[in-house]
Parts: sequence; C-alpha cells; structure tokens
Amino acid sequence: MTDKKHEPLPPSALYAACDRTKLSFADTSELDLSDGILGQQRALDALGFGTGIDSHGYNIFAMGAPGTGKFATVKEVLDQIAATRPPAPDWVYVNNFEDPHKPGILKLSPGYGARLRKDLEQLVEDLGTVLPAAFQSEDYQSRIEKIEQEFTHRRDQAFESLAAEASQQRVRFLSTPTGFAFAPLNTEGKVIDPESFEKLTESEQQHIEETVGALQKKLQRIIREIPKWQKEVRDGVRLLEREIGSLEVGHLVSAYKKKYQDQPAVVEHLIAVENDIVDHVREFRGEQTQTAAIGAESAGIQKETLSRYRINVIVEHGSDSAAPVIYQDLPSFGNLTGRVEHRAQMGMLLTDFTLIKGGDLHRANGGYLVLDAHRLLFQPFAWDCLKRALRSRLVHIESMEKSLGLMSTISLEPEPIPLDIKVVLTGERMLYYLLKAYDPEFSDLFKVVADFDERVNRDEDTEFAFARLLGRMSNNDDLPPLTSDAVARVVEQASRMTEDSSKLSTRLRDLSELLHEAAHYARMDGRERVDATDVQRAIDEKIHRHDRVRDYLFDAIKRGAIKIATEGERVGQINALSVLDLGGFSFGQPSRITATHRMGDGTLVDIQRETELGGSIHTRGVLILAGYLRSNFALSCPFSVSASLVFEQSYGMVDGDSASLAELCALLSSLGGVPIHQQFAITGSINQLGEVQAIGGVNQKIEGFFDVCNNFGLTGEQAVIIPSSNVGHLMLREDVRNAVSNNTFSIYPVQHVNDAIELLTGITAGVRIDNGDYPAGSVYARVEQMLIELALARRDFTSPPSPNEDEQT
Amino acid sequence: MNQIRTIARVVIAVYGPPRNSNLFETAARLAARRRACLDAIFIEDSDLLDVALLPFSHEFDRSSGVMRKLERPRVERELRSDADQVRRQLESSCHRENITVSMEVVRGRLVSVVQETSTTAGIVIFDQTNPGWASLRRSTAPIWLVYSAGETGNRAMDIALELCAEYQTGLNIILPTDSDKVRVLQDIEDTPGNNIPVRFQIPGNYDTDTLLHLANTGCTALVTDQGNPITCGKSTHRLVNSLRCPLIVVA
Repeated sequence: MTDKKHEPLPPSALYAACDRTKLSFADTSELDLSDGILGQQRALDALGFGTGIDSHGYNIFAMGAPGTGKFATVKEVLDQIAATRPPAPDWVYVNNFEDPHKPGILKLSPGYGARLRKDLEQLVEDLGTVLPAAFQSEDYQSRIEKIEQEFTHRRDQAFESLAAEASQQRVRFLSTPTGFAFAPLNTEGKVIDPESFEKLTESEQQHIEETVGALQKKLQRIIREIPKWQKEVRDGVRLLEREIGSLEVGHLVSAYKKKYQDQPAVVEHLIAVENDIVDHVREFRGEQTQTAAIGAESAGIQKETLSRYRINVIVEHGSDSAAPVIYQDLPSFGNLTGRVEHRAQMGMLLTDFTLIKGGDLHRANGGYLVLDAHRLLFQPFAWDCLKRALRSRLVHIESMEKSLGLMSTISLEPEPIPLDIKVVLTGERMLYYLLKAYDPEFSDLFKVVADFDERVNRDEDTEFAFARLLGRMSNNDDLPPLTSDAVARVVEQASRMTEDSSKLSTRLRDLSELLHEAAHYARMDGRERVDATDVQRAIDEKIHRHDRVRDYLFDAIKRGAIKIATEGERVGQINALSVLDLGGFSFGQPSRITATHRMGDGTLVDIQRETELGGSIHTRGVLILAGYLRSNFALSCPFSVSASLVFEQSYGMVDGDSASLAELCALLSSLGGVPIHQQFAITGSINQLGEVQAIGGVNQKIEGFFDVCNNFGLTGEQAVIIPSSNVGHLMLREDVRNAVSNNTFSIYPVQHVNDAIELLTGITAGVRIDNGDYPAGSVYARVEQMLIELALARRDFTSPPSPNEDEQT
Repeated sequence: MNQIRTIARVVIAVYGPPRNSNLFETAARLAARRRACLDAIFIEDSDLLDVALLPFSHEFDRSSGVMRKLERPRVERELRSDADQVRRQLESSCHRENITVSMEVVRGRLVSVVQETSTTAGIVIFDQTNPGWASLRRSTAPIWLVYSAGETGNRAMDIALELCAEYQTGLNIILPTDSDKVRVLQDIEDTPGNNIPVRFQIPGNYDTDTLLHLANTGCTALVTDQGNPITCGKSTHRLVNSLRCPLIVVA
C-alpha cells in the first residue's frame, strides 16, 4: 500500500550500526583505560570551578539522572584534585582544665596527633611511677612528718600545759567519751564527789567553780585554735607537695615542650597539663594515707586522674600525602558532626573528652566530603546540621537531643572546630530544583551546579572513548574484556537506550548491568572475552525475564480477546501505539482508537478523560486536534458536531499526546465516512496546524506493532506511520530491520496530518482550491461536506416552524 | 628473736572510745602467737562519773569545741556505747587470729584496776589515755624499749622486736648505762632474719620524766617489763596518763 508520494523508510534509516572497522582493537584490554569519564565536559568544568574557587558557599551539587556515574566521576575528579593539595591537619580534643565540660581543640600538623597521643600516654605512665615514688621518698616522708609533728607537738603541748596548770590548781583534766572535762580534786588528789562538794563552804565552792571556769575558757580557746593549726599544716603539706610535684613534673614535661616547640598549641597545652598536675599533685601520691592533722584521704591514683592528661585524636592523617576525600554512605546527624559517647558506671551514664568521636565533617576538614543528597535529606536533622556547619564554618559536636532542647542534663560542649571544606552533593535534578525553590539557604551554600548529562553525541571519537569506558568498567569489576564486536553492540544498545541513534547513553548503571550479564554468559560458555553474542544474549535474556505481561497482551491480541485488526478497512477505527513501562522494561502495544460523531453543539468527548482514565497531556492533545478541526473545516458554519473518541479495551491510565495524530485521523475518517486501512498503526502528536511532532518510545512502538503483525502473519502491507522528526531516533530490532529489507513490513515518516490521512485512506487529503473548497472526492471535502450538513441540520432542527407548516399540521 | 614463750593471758586495758584498731590487732596477734587468751578490761573512769554529778561540770566536744553540761546519765550511756564498740572491734580482731576474747567493764581508776586484775597476765597493754587526738595513722615512729637485764627484760625485747617487724619501724632502746649496750646489740644481731635498725638512748637522768620526754618525741609503742624501776608502780600510772602512745608491760 504505497504510492510515490509517500515512500517508506529504507532499511538503512532504521538503525545506526556501529562501524566495527573503526574499532581497531581485538578487545578492550588493549585500550588505555586511564581515563574513565565519557563526555560530561559541562559537569567536569563545573567541578573544576567549584573545587578551585576559594570563596564561601561555593559547594557543589552534582545533579543528573540516577546511574549516570555522578558519584564515580566526582570521586575520580576529587581524587585527582586532592592529590595536588596538602594533607589536612590532625585534630585533637584535650581536657580543658579550667572547665572540663568544654574540652578544648588542638590543630596539629599532619601526623602529629598520633605522636602526641603516644607521648602523653608515656607522660601519664611516667607520672604514675615518678610522682608516687617522689611522695614515698624518705625526704618527703620526713618533711611531712616534721610538719605533722609540729602540729601534734603544738596541740599536745597546749593540752599538757593546760593539764599541768589544772593540776597545780588541784583540778584534773579528764577525757570524756566525746570530749574533755575538768574535775576538782581534794587534798588527797581524788576527785571531789558531790557530797563532799556540798559540804564545802560557799566561798570554797565558788573558788572551785571559778577555777574550773577559768580552765574551761582556756580549753575552749585551745580547741578553737586547733582548726587554724590544722590549716597551717594543710598549707604546709600542700606547699611541700607542690614543690615536689613542680620539680618532678617540670622535669618530665620540659622534654616534651622541647620536642613540640614547632607546635605552639601543644606547648600551651603542656603548660596547662603541668600546672594542673601540680595543682592536683596530691592525687598522685598513690598510697592509702590518712592524716589526722589534715583530715584528707587519698586512695591511690585514680584512673580518671591520669586519663584527663591523655588526648583524644579525632582526626589523624598519619602518612597521608593528599587532602582527604570522604564519602559517607549514611550521612546521619551523628555521622556528620560526630558525637559524645557515654559509658555506664554504677547506674549512671558518664562521659569525658576521651569519649568524643569525630564525624565526617571532621575527617573531611581541609578536603572534600561527598554525600548523596537524597540520603542526606532522609536522615533526621542531618541537612540542617550540614547547613549550619557550612554557614558558620564551624563543626559543633552535640547530641541531637540537646540541639532539639529535649535534654537538659549537663554534658560536654566540645570546642567547635573551624571548618574548611568543600561539600559535593550528588542527586537528581528534581531534588536540586526543589531545594533551590524551597530552601532559601541552599543557593547561598551550594553555588555551583555540576550537571551530568545522561547522553553524549555519538561519533567516531565518542564511540572509541565509549570503548575505553567499557574497558575500564570491566577492568574495575574484574570482568573479562570485550571484543570490538561486543563493544560495537554495546554502543548500539547505548544509542537505543537514549532513543536517539546519534547519541550514546551515559547511564553507567545500566551499562554496568549489561556488562556483568554479558560477562556471565561469556564465562558460562567458557570464553575469556565477551563477544557480541554475549551482549545480545544479555539483552534478550533480560527482556525475556521481564516480558511476561507483553506475552500475555500479545497472546490476547492473537486470540481476539483484545481487538486489533491488521488488515481490512474500517471507518472511524485506527491502530494507535502506546508504550507500557514496567520498570526496567518497556514495550510497544497497539491500541484501537475509535471515533464516532453526530449532530451536536461542537462538543468533542474524550471518553478517557470523562472516565478519569486520561491524563492531562492526553486531554491537551485531544483539545488540540479539536482546534485543528475547527480551524480547517466548515469555517462559515457553526461547528455542529458532537464526536467522541475512545481507546478501546483500555482500562488503565492513558497519558501523553502521542496518540493525537491517530485520534485526529480516526475522527476525520468518521466525519468523512472514509475507511482507514487497518494494516497501519500510527503514532505522533499534532499541533493546531496539523503538523506532526516527535514522540517518545518510537522504537518500542514500531516493534510492538511488528510483533502483533508477525503473530498474525506478515502480509507486506503492514506498516507503521511515525513522525518524520523521529526517524533519527530509530534503533530498531534486527528482526524488524530484516522484515523491512524483505519488504514484508514498512515504516512511513509523515510531516503533516495530510500525509498520514492519505496513507491511511489511500485518498488525497485535499488542499483548498481557488474557490475555497476542498477538491471534490478528497477526504477533507467529505469531512467539510459532513460538517456543513450537520450545521444545516442543526439549524433546521433548532429553527421555529413556519406558519405554513403549522397550517398544514 | 628467741623462741616465743607460751603464756596464759594477754590483758589489754582500754579507756574510753576505741582510738586505735591497730592496737587491738596487735594485741590479738601477740596473744595468738603465745597461745594465750586475750582479756580486755574496759575502764569506766570513776572520777569522770563523780565529776559528772557536780553542778558546774561541763565538757567540751572534741571535734567542735562546743561546751555542754556534763550529765552522768549521758556519760554512762556513752561509756556503754564505747564499751560495745571496743568489744566488737576486739572480737573482730580475735576472730581473725582464731583466739578467744573476753571483756570486762570495770569502774575505777585505770592503773589500779588493771594492776588488780592482771596479776597473772604475761603481757599488759595500756591503750593511750592522753586526752589529745590519738594518731589514726600507722605511725612510722619507732618502738621504744626500756630495757632491763634479766629474763623479763629479754622477753620485753622480743616483743619490741616483734612489733618493729610488724610496724616496719626501728627500735629505740633506753639503757641506764653503756655497760649492757654491746651485749644487747649482740643479742639483737643474733636474732635470725633480723634487720631492724636499732638506736640506743642512754639518758643522763634515767627516770620517768626523761623517759616521757624522749618517748613523746615520737613513739609507736613503749615496751617495758614489770620490774623496771622507771616504769613500774606509780610510774606506770604516770606513763599511762602522759604517754602519747600505748604502753606494753611484759611480765
């Protein structure tokens, strides 16, 4: 069913085969695999700019479709850039001796963290032996004893003097169970009992009372003096301890001060350590001592005492020679900012600066942090915490509960760390645009966008670069190399993935899957290289794994349950084409569209829309075709037709405007009473001028109708009509191409609805001639005639009856 | 050190609240080594009880210095409480040494009561009664021995050396003259495993006052034998009231 005016596409237009001769290698192992990035120049330029600019807020959002290799590309680029930058400093948390709740931070040259930790542990160990030894020395003990003896002597002297004075006045100084008392004695030196006392004269009694009273006052004075003497002893002991401590600690610490003289922060901390040890030197005595005069007790050196002089290296770059590049798969609040851990002790949760754990922001400080935006946004408060850190250029470590104000217990407030970092977020475009639209801070903090394209132009150079990319991917994943034929087949498949024969897909995830599956079949067959047959098998097997629904539908069509005609002709009935996407697999399916009409008020009923089974884009297509009809036919009459359009046997949602050409043709057929050849299927969208526009899924649609025709038996008449602008997208299956070569199947490109209707009906569409009419017999003349007849009929139907008619009645 | 002689009783005289648990442990250990029973005498000072009945009597709290009326019922109550504490501590010490202990509460004056009740005791230990603060620390001060020639004097020296080893301290020996010094030193050096530092004090005035003066410069315990002229009889009373350490009298 062809004419000279409408030529089918030649087989060469159906597929852009990769020229094997241009792939001048046996397999990909011969290729230089050092460069694994294909295209993406725009994104690479953006990454270079973003990492190079040294201004606040120039963090990077790498956006693109999933599986386009954003992460791998970012990683490769950042690794290269990081290697040219100096390693980041080590960060160390230390005890703040002034305020232990606010641990301090030290910034050290790379590698110094571990060294300092080792040295301070050694210092602590030395302190644990040197100081107790100093306090157990004979010199110290004898000096302490001297101080204490001085007190004891003073105290005992006071009591003995008082006892002697009392004795001279015939009064005995007694010890009671809880204190002291005075007892008057008689001339025989015995305590006066109450009866004897009663027998004394009043003046004698008064004398005794006065004597005892005076002694009591003196005793009271002595007792009141004792705390003061005790304090003097304490001061003396403390002074001695500081003296001993200063001597020993100063000697130990001075060696480290000298060692770290090029790290001023360390020297400053060592001075603080030295002062604190001297202040708390008593805790280092390391023995169970009890001193009555002092009233203090020390139970050996506590672990806590020593641990406060240790350091907590939260970031160490040891032997790193490059700036850090950190990738976090789980960007939670705690993983980003670090956390303060606790240990359970005696039913309580305790913490100190040694339990501070650094986060990714700490580890990446001075370098780069790569995060998946989607995962980041899904972690509670992680996005806010990242923004806060970037905004303030400080990393605060605090618990989520505390930052939300849910916990008011005293905890640590570690000193924040200055942040010098480039954050690279990877994510989909939609995410970028949503953040841009709804988060006012986003634009200030992520000023650079690296847009990853999911396709690149296909030419000889990119095909070769693509071969290198495939080789690298195989190599990285320990897959066998690909032969040049296999590469060519993957190139062709990559073009098909883009639905454009002049492009190549950069969806590395899909390509990687294809390589793995092809490699699997190659290995199964015991081959050491992946061949084109393996690639084809991987493609076919994947389709086979997913095409249950397609088989069911095509079987239903063959058995007539779903009515699709591939021969004959019918007024108002046409084969449209749609694509079903089942997630990872899509296929074309012919659908019957029917159109009917009658006199009416110009309403075009889209049954899909009326039943809420049509999407807004489909409705838009229907309204456009209505516009085309109104503007091209019966311009001088009211549009007096009521028509309806429906996708027959369609029970799911229909969307898109790729059926609008088919619907228009069906409606024109109905209005003009012109039958449509059913061996055709058609796809394409139209505008109000009747021009046919490109649609998506053209390959699947053609293949879908081909499969149905093939099931019924190819007659050589069957064909698919597609928009001319889709010809460049054709990458059809081999069996379709073979059928076209054998003239058992055809594909017609059309630019205008006129072309389509002529192919479908075999009748000239018609172009208005000088008198403004369509040529007689043309499809459009019949359509216009019908519309005029309907308009007249409507006029007659709605006009009031004439008087003559009344009389006749 | 000579072989330890078995004795029947070790008596410990306690006055007032328990001040020094080390002393109880030492007493229990001395008794255990000699297969003796430990008899404790807790003395309720009759002078204290008498004075508590006088209308003007007051006491001053040892810790706070607060003055309060001295009342006999309260004093008696507190003495009973002290006696209970002493009993518990002694029982605990003796339990560890696997010996028996008995305790008697006697009202009277310390030395006379003890002298009356301890005639058959091999060792009498007087806890310190000095009204000052007892030293709570295990002292590094030496053990003092008032040495007399003779069998009891030698036994006193054995005990003094035993205490030196236990307290890991030195021994100061007070001698009336130089004459015994070489022999005593030889005896000590002959004691197997002995490495205790020994110093001799030969005071110009060999009397109780001088002894008190010397011992109160620093003494963990003063050991003497019951025949020594400057520590026996009334001197014992004086020492018990004025020493700042326990007194151990060996029979």
